[in-house]
Order: sequence, then C-alpha cells, then structure tokens
Amino acid sequence: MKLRDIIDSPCGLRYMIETLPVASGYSLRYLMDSSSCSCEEDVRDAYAVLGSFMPVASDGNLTAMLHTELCGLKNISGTLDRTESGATVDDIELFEIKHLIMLGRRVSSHLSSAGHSGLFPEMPSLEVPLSVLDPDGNNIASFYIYDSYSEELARLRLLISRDSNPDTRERLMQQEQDEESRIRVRICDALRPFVPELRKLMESLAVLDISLAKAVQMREMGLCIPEISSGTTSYKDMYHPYIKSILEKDGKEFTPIDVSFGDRPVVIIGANMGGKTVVLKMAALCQYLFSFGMGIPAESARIELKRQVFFISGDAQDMTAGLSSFAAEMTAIDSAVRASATDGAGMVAMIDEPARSTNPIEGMALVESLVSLLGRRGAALLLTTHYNVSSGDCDCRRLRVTGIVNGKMNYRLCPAPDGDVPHEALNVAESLNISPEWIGEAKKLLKYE
Amino acid sequence: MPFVHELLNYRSVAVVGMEKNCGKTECLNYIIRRMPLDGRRVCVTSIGLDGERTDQVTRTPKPEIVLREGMFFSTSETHYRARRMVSELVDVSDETTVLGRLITAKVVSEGKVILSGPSSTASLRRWMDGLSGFGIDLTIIDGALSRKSSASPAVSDAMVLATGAALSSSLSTLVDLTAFCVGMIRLPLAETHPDTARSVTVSSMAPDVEICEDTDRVDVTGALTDRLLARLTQDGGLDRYEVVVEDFTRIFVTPGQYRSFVRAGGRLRVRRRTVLLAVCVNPLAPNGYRLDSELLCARLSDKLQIPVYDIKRHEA
Repeated sequence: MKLRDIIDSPCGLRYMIETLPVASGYSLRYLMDSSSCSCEEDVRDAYAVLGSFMPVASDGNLTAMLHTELCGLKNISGTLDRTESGATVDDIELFEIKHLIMLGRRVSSHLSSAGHSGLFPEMPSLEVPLSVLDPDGNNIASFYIYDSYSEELARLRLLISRDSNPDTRERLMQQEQDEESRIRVRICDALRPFVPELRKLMESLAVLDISLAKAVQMREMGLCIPEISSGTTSYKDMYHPYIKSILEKDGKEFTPIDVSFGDRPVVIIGANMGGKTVVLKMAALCQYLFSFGMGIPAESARIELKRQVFFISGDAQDMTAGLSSFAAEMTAIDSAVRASATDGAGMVAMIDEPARSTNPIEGMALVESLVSLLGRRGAALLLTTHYNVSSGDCDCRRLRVTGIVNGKMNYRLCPAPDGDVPHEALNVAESLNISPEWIGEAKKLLKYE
Repeated sequence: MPFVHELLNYRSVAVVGMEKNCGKTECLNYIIRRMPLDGRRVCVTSIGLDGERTDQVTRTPKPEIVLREGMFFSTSETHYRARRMVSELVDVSDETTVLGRLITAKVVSEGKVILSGPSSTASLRRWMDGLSGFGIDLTIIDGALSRKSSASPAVSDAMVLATGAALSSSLSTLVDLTAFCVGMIRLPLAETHPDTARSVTVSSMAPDVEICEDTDRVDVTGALTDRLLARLTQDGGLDRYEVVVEDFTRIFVTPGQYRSFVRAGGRLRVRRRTVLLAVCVNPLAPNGYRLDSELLCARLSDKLQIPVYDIKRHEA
C-alpha cells in the first residue's frame, strides 16, 4: 500500500505526516508515493536507517544546516529525462543540474565533517559532470555559458562589449548566441551518460531528507523504535500524538495505554467515553507507522508486520454510495472477512463497535461470529463493543476500560472476566449533565431505585 | 538629479505609473542608468509583465529595460530565455507566474531583458524574502499596467510616481488627477490606536454596519470604494470618527466623491504610509499630443510641493 492511499485513514496518520519536518516538497511527494514495507527485512533496514540518523537529529546545528540545504532540493526529473532523450537543455535546466550536484556535495560535506559520512556517501562519479558545468572551478551554485567554454565565445563577447554600433553589435550578438548553442550541445553530450547517477542522487537526497525528518520527529515527540515480533503485537504506554497535543493545549494529560493482541482476538468492552475507540485508533496508527519505518508513539513496542491493515471506525454511512450506516459498515467489515479467507495470518483488523446500529440480539450474534471467524483464521483482531461477548464462546481475550475510580476516569485497560458488561452509561450520562428527568426515568425502568 | 541617490536610503522602491504610457519604463531605465552601484547589490524586478518592446495594448514602441553589469534581476523563465545579455543564473524559485518559474540572475555584461515578476504583492513579498540570501541592498520594483499595488508599503518602502499626457491631454486635468493621487499617497497615519479606539470594521462587501455615537474609528478592510465612502458621507457624523484604510493602494474613490466626504467633515487615514520620492512626467501622449514640459513640471511641483522631473528633457 502507498502512503498516499492510506494517509486519510481516520486513525490520525495525516497528523504524523504533516508534522514530519521534511524540508523539500519533492521529498514529501516522494514519501507519499512510497510503498509500505512488504517484509520484515525491509522493516529492519528502515529502522536501522532511522536509528543511524538519531545522532544527527540530536545535533541541532547540523540538522538546521541540512534542513536549509535540503529546502533547495527540487524535482528535476523532467530536465533529466530530456537530457537523457538526447535533447539539448537550456541554461535554466543546466543550472538545475549543477544546483543538484552542488547540493549533494554540500550535504555530503556537512555530514562527513560532523563524522557521519556513512549516512550519505560521496558520489565520485559526479565530479565529471560538475567539472563540465563549472569549468572555472568557482564552486558557486550559479550558471551561465562561461567564457572559458570556448575561445571563440570569449572573443565574441569582448567584441560586443567594445562595439557601440547597433547593427554590428546585433550581428555579433547573433554569432554569440550561435556559439552558445553549440556549447550547450557539447555540455549535454557530456552530461548524458551521468543521468542515471543524477537521478539516483536526487532520490537519495529525498530519502535522506525523509530519514532525517523521521529522526527529528522521533526526538521531538518522544517516539520509540519498535522490536519486530512474530505472533503478537504489544505496546507499553502507547499514546496518540494528535489527541495528546490537543489535551496538552487545554492543560490536560493523556493516559497512555498498554495493550497486546495478535495471538487471540481481543475484545474491549467498557463505558462510553472510556477511550475504547482511541485505543483502536492508536493501534491502527502504530501499525501504519511501523510499516513505513517511522517512530512509534509508545514507551516500547513489539509489532508484527501485517500485509493488510483494516481500520473500520465510526459511522461509515456512505451517502455518495447510497448506503445506510449499517450497510456501509457491513460492507467494510466484509472486506476484512473476505481478506481473512485467503490470508488470515497476514492481516490485522481494528473494528470499532461493529453492528451497533442494529437490534442487540442480532447485533451480538454478528459480533460473536465475527470474532470467532477472524480468530479461527488467525487474523490479529482488536474489536470494541458494548455487547456482552463471552470469551469462552468465541475464544477471545476480554479487556475493559478500568472506568471511574475515585471519581476520576481511568482509561487504562484491565482484564474483564466473563460476566456482565459494565453498566456505566447512565453514570456517564449524568456526568454530562443530561436532563435528570430522562436519566431518572431510565433508572426507574432498570429498577435502579 | 538628486532623487536617484535618495533611492539608496531604502531597501525597496517601486516605480509606478498612473496610467499606461506615462513614461514609467523610461523612468526606471533612467534610475538604472544613474544609480551609483559602488559594490551595492541592486535587484530589479517587476510585478506582472513589463519591459515589452512594444506596448501590448496601444502597440506603441516602448523602451526596453537595460540592465548594467553586476545588477541582479528577476524575470520569468520565458523572458529569461529571450534575454539579450550575458547573465549568470543564481536562483530558480518555486514561485511561478503564467510565464513559468521566477528566475533570478546577475548581469555579466550589460544588455536588455523583458521583466516579468511575481503577479501578486504576496508572491512578490515572498520572493523578496527569499532573496535575502543574496545580500541585495536595494530592490527596484517596476509596477506594471498602472497597478499601484506594488507601491504598497507591504512590499516597498518608497515609490516614484510616473504621470503624463497619456492620463489626460488637458494640462489642468492632468495636474488635478496627479495631485489627487499624490494626496492619497500622502494621507496621514491614523491618529487613534487600533487597540484603544472604539472602532467598527466595515468593508465594501458588507457596508451596512451600525456606527455608534461614540465610535471614533471606522476600519475599512480591503478596498475603499466610492459606494462605501458615499454611504459614510450620507450617514453624517463624519466629524466624530476617522476612516482608516490599510494604505493608499486600497483607495479606489473618485476625486468628486472624496471632496464631498471631506466637505462633510470626513477624515481619511492610513495604517501604513509609503514615502513618495519624486514624480516623473512624460509630456508626450501615445496619440502624439505633446504638453509643454516646462509648464507641466512647474505647475505640478507648485501644486504638489515635491520635485517633478521630465526625464527625457533632463537627459537631453
């Protein structure tokens, strides 16, 4: 899956990508078009790179210098394609190529003088194209058809500067233009064999920009590098960066959550407003971040790589498709069920309160059968519900939000032995200042009083 | 001429014409020719399209922009390719115009170029900020097509105004129109402070705002139009408050409407002012009509109390 296709997942992935301090617009587009890791080896490599950038990210000066340089990284694929196809490119495009090579050299020199030369090796093969574009060895990132390209050009320019007769001047200028064109053809011929190297340089710089941004984000947000696991996924003190940042703005604190799943289906029950959905969001977010080798918002994490991630949350009512909320939800969940038939072990599903919009008897049957089916097929499942799903009937682990303890909400998860589901809806409603006559009547119906 | 030296006291100066063919490009070329460089880094750009060899509208011959060695300039890709000079490309900006990306270059040997800069004040401002790395001491902005927006204090610190017979072939009308424009440029700053004033905000799009008895400031967002000014004049009570606009480039009122406003006791003020360095005149209209240059300069400088120059006559 490409990042572009999943960025708007309601788990909050966009926030993580938007807060990535990527310097160049080209790098960001490169990242968006990149695909998730398809095997453990890729994940291991991605985190090894991220780890190797951590010392750079902790050097504020070096990071700032690299960031400033990388701001100048541009996508010059068009220019490179034209050069490769045999076209003669103009001064602006030649400037772009020179600018790219010099940018690569400066980045490489910043890194090597700070002792990180391994992160971006010098490209000796680019000395030749650089010398073509910098015949005087000025080492300045500017370009024009220099006098030193040909004696004829220098001679013509001297004549032009001395000539005050408009007619002869015009003629000389035409000759000068012709000579410039001939030189451009020569320059392009000399550059052509190096186009693959130049393309590689451009992409390596984008990758470096992205890696550095990931490392800086990891440092700033206090993310962790996860262990790669097989069989179970577990998080210690997992948090949601976006929700945490919003709470912190209001002077509130986010309660981190421990959770583990993957060996058996996990069903989370518990009061409304207890943060069940947030747990699913976090788990889905971490799963995506993991598959793109990014820092994980948790104290520590062990994650299993999954080929397919299903995050089905909220009111999925799809008016454009003419589906009711129930139909849209069933269709979405069904895609996960169908995927599990062929590759149960290769998928993870986070499903928020399935079948909540139908009657509780059929709803419960749908949920229990869903948990059993996905569990039997080996899918990693994390599901929230208000239905009293029994752990025995569908072989799952029941967790619940701890709930209100000493008048304060405790969002942490704890095991929920079989039995009734927590009856806290009315208490929560009261805390929301809902009309007492309504809640009172509801309580009477339940014979609370 | 003294005013060219005065330009050096500012970071950015806009050259603005009251109308097409008012001699703005002549004026710009004059400044470029006379500018003492002495190692100063001067950059010339335009807002919108300028420097064409023939006027795009009236098809009259127009002077090209001639840049001197060592000067910086910026123009669009299309016009950079068409330049007739040797110049060293130093930057390709992400800022784009209809004619391609914005190119900044340094003149290696004197020559001619068509200038076409960013098309809005916001992108012009962004481009100027991006230029800071080149150590530019002075940016001269060629305001195109009687667009005064480039002279907004948001973009440039000072301005030179070009006026001429293209505006009106009647000397007294020309003097009156120019004097009105200069009057707007020289409007005083608001007396009240936005934080302490009892102010209301109006805009030409939503003019129906209740102005209370104790209001002492009416802030105008966006453009001040004749309609809005007429409404304020009709409502009366103009002596109680001042009307405040961002700067003179936001004023689009006719002299007649402004006079009724002032007669009713109205006070128009600006939040930001620009410095008017000089007024240049072109006594020749595109239709061939020529005004008496000496008389025109004298009448204008008498009325405006500011130096007025006919550049052609000065050069001769």
